[in-house]
Amino acid sequence: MSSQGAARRSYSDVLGLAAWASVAVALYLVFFVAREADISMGGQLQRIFYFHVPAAWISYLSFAIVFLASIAYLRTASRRWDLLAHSAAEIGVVFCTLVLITGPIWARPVWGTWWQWDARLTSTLVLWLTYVGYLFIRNLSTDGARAGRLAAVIGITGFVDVPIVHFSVQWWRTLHPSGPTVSNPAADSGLGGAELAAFFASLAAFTLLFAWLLSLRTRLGRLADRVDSLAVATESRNPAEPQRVPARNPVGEAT
Amino acid sequence: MGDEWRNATSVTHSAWLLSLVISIRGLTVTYGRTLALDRLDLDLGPGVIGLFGPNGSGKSTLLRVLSGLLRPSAGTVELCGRPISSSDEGFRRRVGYAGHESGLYPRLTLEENLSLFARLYDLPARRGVEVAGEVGLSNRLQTRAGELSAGLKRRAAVARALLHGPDLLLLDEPYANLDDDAAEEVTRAIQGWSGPERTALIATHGAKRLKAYAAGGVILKQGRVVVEGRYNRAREPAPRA
Amino acid sequence: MRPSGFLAKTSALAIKDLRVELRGRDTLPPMLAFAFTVALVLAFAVPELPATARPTKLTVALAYVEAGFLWITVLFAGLIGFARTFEVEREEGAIDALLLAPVDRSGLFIAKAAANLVFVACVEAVVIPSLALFFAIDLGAGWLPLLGVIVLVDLGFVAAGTLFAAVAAQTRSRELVLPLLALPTLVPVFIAAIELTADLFLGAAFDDMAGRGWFAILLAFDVIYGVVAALTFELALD
Repeated sequence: MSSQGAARRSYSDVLGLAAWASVAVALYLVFFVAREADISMGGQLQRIFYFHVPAAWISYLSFAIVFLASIAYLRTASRRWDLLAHSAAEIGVVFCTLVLITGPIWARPVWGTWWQWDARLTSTLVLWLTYVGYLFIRNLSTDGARAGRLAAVIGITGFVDVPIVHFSVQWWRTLHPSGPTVSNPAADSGLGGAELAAFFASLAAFTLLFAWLLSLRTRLGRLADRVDSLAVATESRNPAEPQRVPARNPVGEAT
Repeated sequence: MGDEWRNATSVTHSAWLLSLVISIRGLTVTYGRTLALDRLDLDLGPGVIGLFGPNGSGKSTLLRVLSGLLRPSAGTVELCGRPISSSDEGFRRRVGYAGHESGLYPRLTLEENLSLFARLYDLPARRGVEVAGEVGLSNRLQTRAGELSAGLKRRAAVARALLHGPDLLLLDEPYANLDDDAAEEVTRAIQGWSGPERTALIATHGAKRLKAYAAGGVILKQGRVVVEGRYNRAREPAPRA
Repeated sequence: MRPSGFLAKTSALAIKDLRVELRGRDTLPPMLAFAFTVALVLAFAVPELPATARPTKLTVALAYVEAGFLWITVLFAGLIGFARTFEVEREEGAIDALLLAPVDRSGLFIAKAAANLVFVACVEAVVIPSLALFFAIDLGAGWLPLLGVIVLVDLGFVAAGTLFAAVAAQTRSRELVLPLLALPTLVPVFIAAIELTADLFLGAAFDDMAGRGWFAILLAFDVIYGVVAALTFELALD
């Protein structure tokens, strides 16, 4: 393993250790230190919020990374941006799926409905669909060499849409108000110091987990690339063969 | 008219470097684990050059890279000292390419196809009719491109490639499915097009046909050049239309 | 490049797409038949109730459902058309020849989008009168603002749709990939379209805040996606 690889590996391991340590701390704070919320906010079920909100923030962060990495890739054609975009998209979709699952689990008993068409929920759903589409393109491309570029285009256009979706649904809700809003469950539930501590611990844990997963996934991608280039090198007739001196007389008409 | 292969030597001729048209260094094209071109080095000067080799040796890939349609995984390709890039409009005007597919719209007639492309190259529509005549397809102008036989499609594709008088002509198997008469037409069209500043790289399995008028040849195998050289022979000057 | 050259080439390409369709007639007629059939089936889902001068709650809900059905039909028929106009380029590898020609890439985009726009307009010309008939909708003076809505919606729909069709054309399962890519992005356009159309069905005017808000959203989408699509189109093809 190259020294750079070894350094990256130990960096990743440290990150992983830190992530799981902070998860342990956060779990303790969430379940044993934070007070149970008011029954109107769901009682014990409200603790889901300590997972739901950080997961949402992290997924938005992921998709922002996909957006920026896609732009960088289209401009530089450098594989590391492509890999970063792909990895962030995968992890973002995972976290976003968690958001879309934990939200309704909380909403059903508290709001009486699994779902509603609020600006934030709709934008999150649209984001999820957009980046699921991104992953589909990467896998379904007919020309593997171009999959990265095609996906990058989607990574960019999809992200640009989010503010538009958000505003249009918000406008729609203004005109057709219905149901409780999602604006700030944190403020409503009367969070004190213990709860805030639990929330930020959870946020830290999620962030570290994200960083660790990202480092693992990009490492996986790099290793896969290495395997491919090694396979290619063995196909090459003789890698050790010295470069043939190019013809000084070019093939063509004698001038 | 005898001909003989001569392997390139490493004699340095600075004069040759000035006449360099295409300069390829370390060209590599990979698709995942498949290696299509393997650190290719090649210099191509003006004239008609044959590209030979078994199937899968990388001929089509090389032509596509030279046309700008395919981005290499590594290496450089330069035309008269400038890197080949499909986003360079000046380059696109100078290159003519016909791959395995005809590149025409099947539901439009040959004439409609060629006049459309003439217009896209800022040429008058009658240029399309002209070039169809050069490959012997004048009587097929009103046929829909999709209804042409395989051999006719090939000739039509060559016509489309020659339409705008490119400096760099890239043809992938133009003689496939052609009978001798049709092949003669194509050869005549190419010879009519060729000139002192023009380079053609023609991939074909019919080496003998090409050797009759080409300036040199390159043999590829497994993505690398194995033989390259100029043909040595006394030639009559190429007939110009 | 001379501006007239750009315009001439772009229109030549758009005309080419329309001419190809005219010769084969395998996109527009099936699109129209499909759209009409979908509209017909959806019409059976809605009970027959005439629009009243003073909207009751039930009629309001119906107006939204009818507007929804209209735009769903246009949406799906349109997406089929977008996929087809790119199939044309793949048939004999014409896309390669096109990419090699010295044509501005944004010209390629505009030409394709223009052809797509014509197809969508044809679908709307069939679907809207049909549904007006099925649902017994009398727009009166509302036809003119409806036209305005249609124009704005079509521009956004076609801009995004053409771009995504270019991407989807290079994937397997492209008939499924295109809706997956386009629908989430087009959500704002279709909410606006349905809101505005439903208002028109109910006989409302647009000089109130609600209408203006939706027009603003449509305009914003059209401008943003017009620019984004024109810029990224060449990256999707190249």
